Amino acid sequence: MAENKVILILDDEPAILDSVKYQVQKKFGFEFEYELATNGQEGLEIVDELLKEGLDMLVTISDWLMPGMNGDEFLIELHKRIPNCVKIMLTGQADSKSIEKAYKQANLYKVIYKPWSSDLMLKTIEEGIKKHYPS
Amino acid sequence: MSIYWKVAILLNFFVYTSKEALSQSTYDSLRNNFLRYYKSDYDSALIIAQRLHEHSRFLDDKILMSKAHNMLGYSYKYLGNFDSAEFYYLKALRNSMNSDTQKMYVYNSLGLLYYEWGKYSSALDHLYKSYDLRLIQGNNEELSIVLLNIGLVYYGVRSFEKALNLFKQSADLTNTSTGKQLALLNMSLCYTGMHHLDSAQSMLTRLRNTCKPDCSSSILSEMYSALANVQEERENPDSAIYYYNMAITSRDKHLDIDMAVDLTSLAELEFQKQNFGLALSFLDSSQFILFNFNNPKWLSINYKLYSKIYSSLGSFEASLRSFNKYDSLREIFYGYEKLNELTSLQLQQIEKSRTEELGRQEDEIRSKNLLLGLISLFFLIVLTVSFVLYRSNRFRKRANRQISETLEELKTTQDQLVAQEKMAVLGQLVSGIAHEINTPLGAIQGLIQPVNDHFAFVISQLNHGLKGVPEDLHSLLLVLMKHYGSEKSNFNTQAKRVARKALNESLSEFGIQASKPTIEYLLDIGVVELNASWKKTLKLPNHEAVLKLIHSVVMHERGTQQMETVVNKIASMVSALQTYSQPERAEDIKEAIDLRENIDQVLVLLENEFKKGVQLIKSYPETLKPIQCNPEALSQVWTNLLINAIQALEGKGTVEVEIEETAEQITVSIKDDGCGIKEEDKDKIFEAFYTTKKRGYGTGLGLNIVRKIVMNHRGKIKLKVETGKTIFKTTFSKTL
Repeated sequence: MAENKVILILDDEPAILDSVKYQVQKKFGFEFEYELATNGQEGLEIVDELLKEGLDMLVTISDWLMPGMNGDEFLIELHKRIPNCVKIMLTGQADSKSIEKAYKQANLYKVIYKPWSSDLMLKTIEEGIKKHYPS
Repeated sequence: MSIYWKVAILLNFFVYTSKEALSQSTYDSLRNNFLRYYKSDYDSALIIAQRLHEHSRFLDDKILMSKAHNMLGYSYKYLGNFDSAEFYYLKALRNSMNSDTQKMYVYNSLGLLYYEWGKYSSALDHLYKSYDLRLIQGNNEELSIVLLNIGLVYYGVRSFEKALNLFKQSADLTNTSTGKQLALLNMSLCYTGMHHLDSAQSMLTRLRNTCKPDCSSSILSEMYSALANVQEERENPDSAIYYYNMAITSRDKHLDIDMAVDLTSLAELEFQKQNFGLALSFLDSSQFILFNFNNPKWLSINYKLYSKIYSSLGSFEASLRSFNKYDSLREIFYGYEKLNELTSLQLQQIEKSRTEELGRQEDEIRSKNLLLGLISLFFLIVLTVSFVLYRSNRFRKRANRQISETLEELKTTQDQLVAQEKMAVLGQLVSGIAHEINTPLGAIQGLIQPVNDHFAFVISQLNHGLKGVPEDLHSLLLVLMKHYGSEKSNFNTQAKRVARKALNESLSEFGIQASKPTIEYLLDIGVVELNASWKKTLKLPNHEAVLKLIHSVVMHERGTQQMETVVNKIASMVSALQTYSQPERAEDIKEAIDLRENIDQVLVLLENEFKKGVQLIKSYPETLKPIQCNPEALSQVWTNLLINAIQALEGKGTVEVEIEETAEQITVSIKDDGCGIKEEDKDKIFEAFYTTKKRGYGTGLGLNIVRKIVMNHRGKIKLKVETGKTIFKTTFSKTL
């Protein structure tokens, strides 16, 4: 049976969601499922859904400044559910306290700043997978 | 060095109120209570004054009401709330009706208030009005008091000789020991100001002799302070320290500005003696008092001294910090200095217009002397008048030029202050703006690649993309491409997940075996229902390749659309920033502006603030008459009010912007359901340098500038509290 591997992308700007999805899909093709959410609450609903269906690998790319729940709060909640997943923050600006908090309480893997380079993001994802899911 | 004058007002209450036989015992006992507290416990005095006020309204006696207002004004003045003090004094004046006696007291109170406020020309104006009334009554004690107060104003603008003269007249007219003591004290201070140290010393020695049998603690402390000052001028630091200590001891732990000034002087002297630790501890105590009074002049002087002490101690970082604080306050204070200069010039003008009355008053005094005095005075006046006539033209011209130059300088200083506040607010905005610009930039960068890729794929498929597709289906495919490409990407991630399930179901319902990529393509394109065209397309043997082509065309189209959207976002952000940071135009240049657009532009800058748990509700009318205003200045008003509202929410709550239009005016209300404004802050929030924010978060100028701008537009701004909401209501006339 095929493994259920998911890349979850969170951003309140649709254009960002589309372009991130395009970049990762171009690289990883149909190896992964791609899930998109525009805010933290929606992100958590997807995660709960995925956990019911059975999940083998999760990579999350999340913005920091979003309506309702901020990226760091989302990642901390996610960490409680799936401690081992790869968590990457992709943001235009975040205060250093929130980032520090995410590193400590959510085991954040890396922060990438907008505007970003596609190569750097893809490399970060690959390295994150190697580190979090060694096989 | 400040002059002691409080007893002058005390006499007002005693002399007048004792003359009246009041039948109401409640009123009497309340008044006595007030007199017990009014010098030591201002809060209690205020409460009693408020009860007196209620009582007088109950009795419906205008004169009693006027007296109560006077006491309320007095209490507010001591609590540092000058705006309210002025409000009640003016009420007292209105209620004094036909009683010249009450009127002359209220004028005197107002004069002293303006004196303390630094509004010297208004002070002089009101004191002279009081003087005129007292002249009619012919009571020498009363005249002595008001002359003393007029002298204070001249002392305040450093016209020492003029002040000295008035104090002398005051001393001649009084028979009470307190009156004589006050005059002596103030005369000595004038001599010190003129550097006639021997005369100052001899005045103080005389005062000391009269003080031996009987002297109030406040006069005593002021006397020691004055003695210390003389010793300081004579460069006897040890004696000066001794006297300052005496002054502080006799102040009876009364923490007012005079006490702070004594402490600062001590700190300076100890610093000169290189006792840095001692100097710092004096300075700390002084600063502690001054923070309560929010006095920028002495705060800045203290910071300068801190800076010097720290640098002597080798703590250069602390020294620099203090110096920066000094520097920022000094600039503000510089504005006050200019104002004083201007006032001094205005006083000269007023003085000229009063020459006649002053002459009359001099007559009064001298009529008690010999006829000879009168004759010589007459010659003197003739000489003065001819001299004045000769010089007045030249003098007036010069004075007018000086006034206009000083005004110009004052205006520049004010403009600098406004610009400074603007930059401080901008600093708070910048981090949010960075996110707002970086996000669309990232989106564009990320979209360029797929747009190029899709286009390249379409080109590569030009030759064989439609191979194997029957001719009659070609036009159908083109219609599909065109339709989905032009459809606005109605993005909803949740709806898309629902759509995936629905699509899977309908695919199996129609018995179509679709590959995983096919489903992804369909979803990306935005297909929710399988209509006849799609069913035909999906039945083609090479439907996956065909779909990929349609997908690329649609996504190319959509990518460019999204780029356009985010580029517009950046453009509106940059234009809002430009509007905000532009140097203000001359205020009289106004243009017709729709307030809705003006406010929306500010909301663009604050967009990211409204993501962090803060909700924005706008209720605008559908049409709104444009009003004449200065758009940059008004956007500063909205920015300040909105930032305050957001900060009051501490991360959670609702901000409401409401615009209402009536026949005459337009009202903009900015409401928040945040932490609210404390009762005791309500009267002060519009004052300059008053801030309740943490240190470093506010300049204390924001609302002051807001009020200034609104008033420049002949509008009104009011603070209201309604069912847990803090509301700033700004009203503009439509015929602006």
